[in-house]
Amino acid sequence: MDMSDIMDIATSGLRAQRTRMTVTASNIANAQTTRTEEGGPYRRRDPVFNASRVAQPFASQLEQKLRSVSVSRIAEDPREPVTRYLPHHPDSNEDGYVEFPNVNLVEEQANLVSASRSFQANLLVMAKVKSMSEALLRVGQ
Amino acid sequence: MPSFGGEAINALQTSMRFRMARESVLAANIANADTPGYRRRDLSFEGVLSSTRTQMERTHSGHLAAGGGDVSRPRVELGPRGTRPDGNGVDLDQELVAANRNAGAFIDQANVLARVSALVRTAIGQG
Repeated sequence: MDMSDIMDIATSGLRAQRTRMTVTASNIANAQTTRTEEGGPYRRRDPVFNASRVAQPFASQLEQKLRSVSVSRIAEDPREPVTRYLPHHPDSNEDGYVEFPNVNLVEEQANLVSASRSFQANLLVMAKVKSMSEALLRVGQ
Repeated sequence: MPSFGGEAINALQTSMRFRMARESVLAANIANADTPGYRRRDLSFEGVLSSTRTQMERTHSGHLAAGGGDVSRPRVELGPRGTRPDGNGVDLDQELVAANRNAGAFIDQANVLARVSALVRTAIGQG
């Protein structure tokens, strides 16, 4: 158990939140994408967070209970695409309807705010650990 | 026979080790603030205090240390299940306040430790 363990945990939080922001950015950028490689409109995605062990072999009891965070996979949102009647659109079906992505911009904005707040919280932990180790270094002076 | 500064240094060391361990637990809570189903963890100071208080005297070197846990291995307590839809039990603001106060206590103790070691250095004529 030392300062670098705390830094590792906070770094895992930063990385996970950054991934979340990247995925949200992809959702916002593709809010109107009607054509994808897999066929059909773009489907919004969500990162799935997973609490994972930080402990090395022979770690203490406390270290075995600590969890950092990792992104286990990027899941697709199962909600149905939004259909709109646009008969002259190149991607419209025979009835004249176009399938648009199941992206709700308000939802994505809220997600972005929440992710950046969690990101800042992890940064605050790092700053605190830094001042802790500075205080420790002053002991020897 | 109490040695000069030794007891204070030991007490500070115990407390600072606890503060450090608690900071890592709180950092893990903050990192997992958005992990579904994660339950917050904490180390309670009361638990450490009572385990040090009930330490039994060893009158023979063959005796095992009885009563009370080891302070260097405090118990991790799991918090309640969260009421949020994703089952997460972490309140980010609460964790940040706890982490701040905990780090502040560590820094205070490090400052006291610096004072004590300056006293010791003065006493042995190197101040």
